[in-house]
Amino acid sequence: MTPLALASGGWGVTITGNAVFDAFICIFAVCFLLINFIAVYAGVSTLMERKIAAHMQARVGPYRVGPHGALQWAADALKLMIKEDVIAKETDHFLFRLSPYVVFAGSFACWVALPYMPGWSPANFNIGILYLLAVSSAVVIGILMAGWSSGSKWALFGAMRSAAQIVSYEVPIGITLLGMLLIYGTLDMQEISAAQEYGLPFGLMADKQGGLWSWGLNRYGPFTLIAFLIYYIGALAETNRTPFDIPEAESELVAGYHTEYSGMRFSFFFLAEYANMFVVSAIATTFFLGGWLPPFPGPHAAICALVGGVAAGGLAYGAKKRGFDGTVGFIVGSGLGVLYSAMTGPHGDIHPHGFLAPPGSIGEMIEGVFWFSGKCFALIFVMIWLRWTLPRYRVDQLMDLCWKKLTPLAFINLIAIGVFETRHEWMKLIAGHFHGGAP
Amino acid sequence: MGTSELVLNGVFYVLAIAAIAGAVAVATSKNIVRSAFALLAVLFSAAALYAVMKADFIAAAQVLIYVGGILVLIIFAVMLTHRITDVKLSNDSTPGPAAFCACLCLLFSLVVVILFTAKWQRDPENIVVRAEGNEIKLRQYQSDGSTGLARGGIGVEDAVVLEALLDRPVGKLELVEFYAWMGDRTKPNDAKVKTSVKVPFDPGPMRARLEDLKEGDWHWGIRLIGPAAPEKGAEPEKEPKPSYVGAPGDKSDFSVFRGITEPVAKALAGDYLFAFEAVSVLLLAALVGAAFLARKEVRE
Repeated sequence: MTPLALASGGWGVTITGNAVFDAFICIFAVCFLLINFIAVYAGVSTLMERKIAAHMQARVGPYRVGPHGALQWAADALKLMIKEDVIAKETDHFLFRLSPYVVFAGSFACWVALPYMPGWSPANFNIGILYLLAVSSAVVIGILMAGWSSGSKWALFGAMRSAAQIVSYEVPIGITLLGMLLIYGTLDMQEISAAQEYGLPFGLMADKQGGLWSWGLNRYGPFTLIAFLIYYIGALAETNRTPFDIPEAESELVAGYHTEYSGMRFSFFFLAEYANMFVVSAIATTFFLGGWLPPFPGPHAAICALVGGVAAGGLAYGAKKRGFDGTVGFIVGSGLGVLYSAMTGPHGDIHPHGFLAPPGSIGEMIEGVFWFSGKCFALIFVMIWLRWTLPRYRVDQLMDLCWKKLTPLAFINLIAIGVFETRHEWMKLIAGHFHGGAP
Repeated sequence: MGTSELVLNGVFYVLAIAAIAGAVAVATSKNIVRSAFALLAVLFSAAALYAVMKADFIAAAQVLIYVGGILVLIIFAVMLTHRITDVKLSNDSTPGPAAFCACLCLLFSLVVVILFTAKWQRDPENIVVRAEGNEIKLRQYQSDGSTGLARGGIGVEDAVVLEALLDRPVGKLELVEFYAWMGDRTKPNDAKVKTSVKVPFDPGPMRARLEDLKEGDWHWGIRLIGPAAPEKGAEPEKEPKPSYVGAPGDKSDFSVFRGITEPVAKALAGDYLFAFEAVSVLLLAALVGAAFLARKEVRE
């Protein structure tokens, strides 16, 4: 698909009547929206990270700006923007200035190919996952560029560690995703999501809407589960998150490859890191957790959502006795439950989406975005949780884990999934052997 | 020349100039690390050129292999030389007359290859249409003598030949309608600009030529038409409910996707399997060599 065709061809938006101008307007609009969304999302997830960290360590975290510190991220963003941009004398000025943008572009380019809702992504490639893996490699180059051009040994060590780590962990990640691609038979992120709507584990009842049992995670029992774990561990390493944060190890290298950066340039690395966390979580969601599909399809969804919403509200209300204000939680929780049960109506056997969310409607889009981003944020939460739970790996342990444990495991997994995928052919072969006829 | 062609040409020239400028920077930069980073511009521009030529799979593979693999390796190798923190690593070799002659020879042979051996006619693209239980191959041919781009994207030619092949024959089919519409991909019914051709059903490949395509954003689909319903008194003859390709709301949920992935896969894992495997042996040899060079020296 040509870049121009992406926008107008995919959406059929007519503004000026000229396909080319429409395409440019659409591309600009989507990029504008996405960049702003990334900025806000990164801000909110830093707040999330600080709050979660604080509560795990029995602190309260940021508390002064806004209610419960909820606007701290905006204050941080403002601070970063008006800070002085310091460039040391020993740096290679051109590359030093360029590298934050290379890193950020590598992360940002991934966002356009993610399947946010049924049937629509900003750029619907038929080579989706391959594109994602390809453009994210610009991040490595940007990191090396930053480390080298800083003219500081801490930055250089951080960059070398980071690049070595990312390049190494791309191997098990690639092999696990290859195994999942054997199942789906397509590289298109939308089709991969849609393929997880029907079927139960091990190819049983291929026309049954199994909800979370149809997801890639459960497709071949333990093997796809192991694939998910390998992918998630690799994703942690690719995003330089704890326990694999040796490129930024504060106690060894001052701050890794962005030691010499300050102000806005530093915040670009920061944005890219959080944008990358979302991208790897989104790939995990699409491949293993059903993308934008709800975990409970059809009529069950209504009951589950209602019970879940009321239970969540009840829990929040119960928490009031421990000092939290639970009334709002109760109202929001049960309100969400009622709303969701209205969205997934009694048409479950025909379509997973209900009367408020018939195919192609705004309701379906909202539902898709809700489930997709909900799953992504759940995975990001686990990343943050791990950061405040696990100690850091050593460099040699990191490489040992990657090359001697994860990579062989990923290969075994690939073969196992391949064997299951071709089971009908194997059965025919075996049957032919026993019946004495030609297979 | 239409707007879209003009824009595509402009994009091509911008990318070509970027690629050449990057290549010049690689060759002339006095700083070897900067040369390595300038290679990034060359490789990305080349990938973007592939994308403009609608070879999206090749573009992604180019970035994945050359930027993600080889360029990182080159930068690593450059940085791991012993003067690692010295910013002023220099590339002393200036292009001498010998190098100039060698480049001329290479350029000459390249031009010869391009002029005399390259196949300029494009192979038909595959469009796979998935219906319920059926996979329909919809192949699209360029109209004669045209070099424009006509595809799901922007059409700059006036006619296109579509070919469909049903993998598993469907019972009770009489006609197959090939049609193209402009506008929303998912709403063929609402399109104002439509054109269609009906051909009798045939288990083999079926072909139709759609003409008078204006410049714009075309989508292609096929419709399977069964036998007409039996007449009931004065009731007019009813056509069975058509299923449109690319309408996600449909129960049959057709979807059109056209890919270069499948032909590339067939070429790599079929026609050129031996060459592919031979190259992988070469890479393995390089890996063994690297491991040999990098191993710790054991002194007795």
